[in-house]
Amino acid sequence: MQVTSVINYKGGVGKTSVTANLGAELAWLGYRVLLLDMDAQASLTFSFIKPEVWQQQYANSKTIKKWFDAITQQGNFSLESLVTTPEIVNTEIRKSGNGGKLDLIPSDLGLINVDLELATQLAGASLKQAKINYLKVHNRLADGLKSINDNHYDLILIDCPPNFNIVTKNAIVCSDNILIPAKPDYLSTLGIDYLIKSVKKLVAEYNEFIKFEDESNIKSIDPKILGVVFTMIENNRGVPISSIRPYISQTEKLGLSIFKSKLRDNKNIYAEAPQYGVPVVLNKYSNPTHKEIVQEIKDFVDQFITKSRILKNE
Amino acid sequence: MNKNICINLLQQFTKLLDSLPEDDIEDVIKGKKCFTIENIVRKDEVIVKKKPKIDKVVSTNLINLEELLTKTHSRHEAEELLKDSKKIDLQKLARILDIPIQSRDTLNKIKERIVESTIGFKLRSQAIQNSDS
Repeated sequence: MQVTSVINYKGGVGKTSVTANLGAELAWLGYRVLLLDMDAQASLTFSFIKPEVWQQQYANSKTIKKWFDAITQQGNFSLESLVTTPEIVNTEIRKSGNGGKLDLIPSDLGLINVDLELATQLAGASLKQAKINYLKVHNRLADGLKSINDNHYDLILIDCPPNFNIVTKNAIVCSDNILIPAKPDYLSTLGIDYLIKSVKKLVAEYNEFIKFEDESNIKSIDPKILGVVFTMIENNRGVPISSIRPYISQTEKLGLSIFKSKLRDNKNIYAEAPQYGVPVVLNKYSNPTHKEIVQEIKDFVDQFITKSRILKNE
Repeated sequence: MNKNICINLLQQFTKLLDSLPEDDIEDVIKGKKCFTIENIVRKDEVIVKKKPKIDKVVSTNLINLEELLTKTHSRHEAEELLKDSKKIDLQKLARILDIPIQSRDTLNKIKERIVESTIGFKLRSQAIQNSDS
């Protein structure tokens, strides 16, 4: 079971659309995918569950926030007990006959407060104790994922918030790969640099602190930057417009792996899909533009499979 | 003349043609303009000298100038390379570098865009990734 975090320091880059469509297409192809919504905006959650349903059935008991709350209070709470199977999207996925599924652990608008609680647990009476606490706090999610049966999923996709707080660091710590969606513009590409710097710092700190941990059950971490997928592309005659091309080539020149497939901007198609619980890639419209957009997503997913080398656990 | 030299010459000529606006090419066909050969700064000379100087940007060395710009270490160094350039030459260079420019862009604006696209983006990436915060 592989874990991939989807993150950019800059918000509004189409991160949730990428996560939802990637997860849905993988499930369509037969992979068993678990989406973990760690963003307090809960956009991924609301892409599959209507807000009123979320409020009635999930808000008070079955969100990632409740799990963090229980764990920080030393409670015994299995992460797997939060897993839900969104019905509408899975009805579509089952039509493929490939045996895939798309499950979700919902987020909570109050997740933002969890960070404060986690931060209070970082302090220690000595340097050694502080470092041990650091490892415990940042390892919460990794520990929680152990409760999920390895044979139930091929891939966990974590939709991270556009920041680098302790909740985000928890996601990075348990990730094998990091996928970076980015708009080809000045501020979004700066967000990539912030992210890479923050990941490097976290990895260095974490692996350094492991040396202070007497118990040897904590392993060092080495999440790989899988690549940058450019989103919200404006095309002209099939190629990105001239004003955005420099940002794409500059990112490549900085040595980052770029997904060949670029996802175009189309508000008509992307804007409403989350409202109806089925990501764009699974909608079967005959409109030529829609078909082209679906093909872009499928190409991106093919490249994701190649780069991440995920395997189906038959 | 051996095959490799021929290929090299043709490649250089193709790059040159690609960098020229349609109007210039039409003028060449009509006999109003012609190609000339000028001395250019050689690549190996540039590597030896850390801060190469170019007095004037001419169409025949625009491609080499691209390489020089990417080897600079500061915006100032890149600006120095472009200091005496004419707007028409910078417009051609921008086209080679796939930098979007508009006809109303001033000389300084085009220079700024070229500098940002060759060295500026590396400097800002380094600045963020090497900061202590």
